[in-house]
Amino acid sequence: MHRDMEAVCLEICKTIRGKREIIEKLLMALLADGHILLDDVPGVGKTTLAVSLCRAAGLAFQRVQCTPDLLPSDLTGFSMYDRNSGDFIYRPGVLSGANLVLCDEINRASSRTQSALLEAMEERQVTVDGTTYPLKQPFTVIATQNSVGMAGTQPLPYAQLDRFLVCLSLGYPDYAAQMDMLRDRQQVNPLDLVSPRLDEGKILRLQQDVRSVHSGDRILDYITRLTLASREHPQVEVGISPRGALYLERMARAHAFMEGRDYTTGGDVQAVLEDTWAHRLVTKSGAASREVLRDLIKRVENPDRRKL
Amino acid sequence: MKKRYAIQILWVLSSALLFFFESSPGTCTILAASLLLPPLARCLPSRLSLLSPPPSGPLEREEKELLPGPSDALSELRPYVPGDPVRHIHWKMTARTGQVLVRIPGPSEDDPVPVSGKKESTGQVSPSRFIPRRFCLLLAGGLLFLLFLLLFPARESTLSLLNRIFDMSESRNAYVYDRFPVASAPGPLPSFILLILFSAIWCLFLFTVRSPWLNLLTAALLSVLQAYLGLPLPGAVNVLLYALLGLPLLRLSRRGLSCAAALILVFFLICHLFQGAFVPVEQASEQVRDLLSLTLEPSSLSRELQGVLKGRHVHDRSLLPGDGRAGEGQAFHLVLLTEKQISRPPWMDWGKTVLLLLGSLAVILLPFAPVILMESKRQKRQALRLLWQDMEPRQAVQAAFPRVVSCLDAAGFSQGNLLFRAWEEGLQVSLSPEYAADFGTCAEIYEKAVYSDGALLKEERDRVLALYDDTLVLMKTRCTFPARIRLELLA
Repeated sequence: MHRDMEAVCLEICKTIRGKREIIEKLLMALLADGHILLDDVPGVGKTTLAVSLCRAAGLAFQRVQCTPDLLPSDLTGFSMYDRNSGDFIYRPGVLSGANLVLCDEINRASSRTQSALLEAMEERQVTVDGTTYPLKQPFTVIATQNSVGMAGTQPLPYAQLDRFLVCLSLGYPDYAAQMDMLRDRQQVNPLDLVSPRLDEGKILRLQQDVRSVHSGDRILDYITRLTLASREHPQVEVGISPRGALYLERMARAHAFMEGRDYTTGGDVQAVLEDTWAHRLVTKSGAASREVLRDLIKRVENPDRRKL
Repeated sequence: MKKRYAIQILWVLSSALLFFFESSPGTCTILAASLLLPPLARCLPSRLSLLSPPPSGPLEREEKELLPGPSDALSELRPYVPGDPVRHIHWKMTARTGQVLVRIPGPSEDDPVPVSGKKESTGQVSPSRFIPRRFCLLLAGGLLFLLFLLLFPARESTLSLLNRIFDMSESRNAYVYDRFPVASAPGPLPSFILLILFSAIWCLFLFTVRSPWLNLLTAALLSVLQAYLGLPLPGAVNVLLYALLGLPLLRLSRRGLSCAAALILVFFLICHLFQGAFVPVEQASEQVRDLLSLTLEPSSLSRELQGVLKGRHVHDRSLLPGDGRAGEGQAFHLVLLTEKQISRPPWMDWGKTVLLLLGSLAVILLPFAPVILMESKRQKRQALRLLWQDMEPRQAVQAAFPRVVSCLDAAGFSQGNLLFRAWEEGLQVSLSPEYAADFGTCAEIYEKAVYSDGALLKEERDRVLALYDDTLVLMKTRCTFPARIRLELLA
């Protein structure tokens, strides 16, 4: 793995035990300049993970607890009349001052608030009263949703889900990880042990390096064939969009970068396919997205064998 | 020991008499280098000529790094020089480096050339055992041949056998019947047994000598006999015989193919020129004989037939007027001429011959088709292998590694649609951990060659080419027979 990312990963592993693979994918999404959706049950460490990531990467962190009464202006900011100066002053919202924003239970916010957030995610700027305010760079949103307790929630529609680069799930820790977690928290808060390894500038440079990773025609051909196959699969109702194909290619490049290569291979694509596409696929009743994606990998000829 | 020297000298003399027979190449533990080495050295370059000529100097440092380590019993390798024993060639390193390399044996290998003909440590039997075997076969065949000619009972039995054969041969019966006097011998059986023995000895001799030209000669004689006597063997037997006789011709590669085709052509041309060799002719002659049995009057014949009949009378004593058997001879010629008209109309004659020729060629060559195809594939593989050695590393890896994969696919060790990097786990189980590890490393090199723009190193290319060589060797030892055929034809 890349030296700097390895260091960040080790720092985060001090707080989250037994989830190294998820942590690496989180870092890949960060390097790919994408947003992350964590679909998990409560209490598995989503907030701890986000906070650890911010501390280890040296980024500014903000947390938003989405409730039904959360307003869009809470996120984007608002203009307020100042009686002393006689002018409107912009009061920045939660999104403005942070590199990493954790939106807990996004499915509890109203549709209007969700739209405001997603718009900011897409454009990396907010517009208040006709004035555009760019957000900090790098800017990443980690949104969480709890699929278990869906009462009183506004589930994200497919179009909104498509804007997230990856959908990850921490899940419960195994026995050994649970024991380590309990042991760690006897005397000290593990979050206090996390030290910064990077900063904003380094993250931006790393993102630039990821963009310069080479994806040859074989990889683009492979991704295209996968995309087309997803639309023709018998158990799929709505296949992968072109945005999904683009995100897969970005994520594959980040994977190659993390492996220490400057070129993407078929293995990179296959490694990130499920996490990148599982939440984008609308399957027919009874079909699990990940099963369909595994079937796609088996059916579509891998790029190693392909003769271009 | 003196007896063995005498036998070998006799063999040399008899080989001088049979100078047009090539000896089969093989390893030999030689007694007299000046007599036996030239054929061996002549045979050797046909296999080695595909490789680049060896340099005369010592090996370069780069090549020495590819040599086996110091734990090997051999002291070092050096380039091949004509005259070196074939068994000293290090084939694996030769394939890897592209130069013919031989081992310089250590002190333990300086044994004198064995003359006792005992089995050597390499497991190869000295061909000196073949020398008396061929000589014995020649001697036995010669004695039998003399028996046919010299001993009175055998000679008479032979005449009786010939008479029986010509009795059966309807087409030439009238011409040869009175060339051999009727024998008073006990019967054809002893001669028939001698004939079978002679044929068996001849077959054994052909098998030991394995000379393509001798086989061709035998096939031609067989054709002439069948055609002359008008007694063709059953079709399946003929196909089998000619297939077996034609097999050594394939060792001559393209020339072998031409010789096989020539062999078939000779057979059918001779059969065509001599009448009575085709079954349809025999069937037609039965019908005609039934028709002509009603009359023997020449005046009822057409003018054309009369003219031909008259022409024939000049050449054949048995058809002269006044001969008691003239009437029968006339009828026989009528049968011949009418057979020609009925069974082979002139306008179909050559067409039928060509069709029969092509059809028979196809049928007889059909069992050889896989062998021919495999041979040409093998030569292509060898040529490609040499080409890769000189190619730019990236191109060589892109060309060679898919070949390794197709070998594994053809041999039944494929891991399906998995990425090549992921094949290692499956190959560990089905082949060996060492090979699987090599494959995994080469898969990474292949990924680099295919997916990146960067240049590859020569060592990486050589590693992939070494994997290719190892794969071919491994597949030959680990494959089932059908898988080997698939490998030869498809990979």
